[in-house]
Amino acid sequence: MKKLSSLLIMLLILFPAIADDAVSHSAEAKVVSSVSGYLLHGFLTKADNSLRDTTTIDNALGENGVDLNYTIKTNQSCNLMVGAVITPFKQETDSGDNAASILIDSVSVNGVLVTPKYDNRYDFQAFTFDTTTTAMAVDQENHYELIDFSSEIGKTQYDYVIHITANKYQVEQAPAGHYVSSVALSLTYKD
Amino acid sequence: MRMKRIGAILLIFLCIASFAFCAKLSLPTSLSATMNGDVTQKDVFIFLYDETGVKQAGESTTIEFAFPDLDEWVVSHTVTFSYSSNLLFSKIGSLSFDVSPLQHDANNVVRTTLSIKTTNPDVKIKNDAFIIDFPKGFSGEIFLGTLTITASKPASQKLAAGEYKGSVAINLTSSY
Repeated sequence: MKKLSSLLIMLLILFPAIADDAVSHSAEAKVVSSVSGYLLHGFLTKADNSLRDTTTIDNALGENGVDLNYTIKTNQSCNLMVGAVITPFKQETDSGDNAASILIDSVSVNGVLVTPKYDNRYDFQAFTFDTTTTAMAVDQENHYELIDFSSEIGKTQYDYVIHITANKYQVEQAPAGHYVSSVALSLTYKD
Repeated sequence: MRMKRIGAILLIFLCIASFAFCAKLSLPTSLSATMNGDVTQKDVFIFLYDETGVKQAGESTTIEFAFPDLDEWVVSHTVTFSYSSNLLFSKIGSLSFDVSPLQHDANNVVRTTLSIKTTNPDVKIKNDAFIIDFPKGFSGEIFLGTLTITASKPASQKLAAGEYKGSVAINLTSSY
């Protein structure tokens, strides 16, 4: 009932405004246009500036690490967080048993170092016998808040270089074989 | 006229409300990248250290024997062997030695013998050779054993003055 009354009031207000225009015989043409909003992200292919959802990088255990060209395209005003889950390199074995791992040594975005959300390299309390806590810690070590993103007026494309290196000491000591690491990137709104 | 203004205000309000509703676009799906890398296999590499603990570079090294000015003498030098590898599969290797005695000429030959020892449980000694279990995966520098080369002269032997030369050939063979 409340809704109905407020709807009625709106009509009563709007109707005289339109009626008044009709009486004055003035002609008005309104051009209404809209640009739809978009928010995209992906791995940039520089050749054609296209974005891809997946990419594969070989020779990732080299001394210099690897670069991922990551891009956000949007025409909206928004504040986002780009999160990443980067797993250690794991050896591919036939059985999967006793597969060796090589840890991620560093992650940087446009040259700025990003530490994992939970970095236990300097936290000696992390060395605990509580298996639940240790499992959580290991999981959190792979999580990174890579980019604190805020769109800028007049700009629609934002390019980033994500640089990842593997632990060189562990690469030297690792058993011979093929190793694979996965990187997952996702967006979340900050507000 | 007043009514007209209220109508305009209402329309603007509706537009703003509509914009605010559209501002949060649905988030795009997550991206995934795969990083591949290879750790290359490194075959067994043998290291040789002299008695002072200096690692000998290259394929050959020289050991000098100073013969005492005595009727009877025994001179020994010991060298140490170690290895490193990074193998895809484990294998068994044999490190064997062939000695040619120290000699000046065919009539002046110094008795030269070899003996080997090890404390590494993965290394066995058989027929004067090290039999080694090379494990798969990375092996940093692992101690193999020692080789002692002994030159001896009994009192009854007469040796001509001059330079004596001999050699020890070291051979590594493995199961593949």
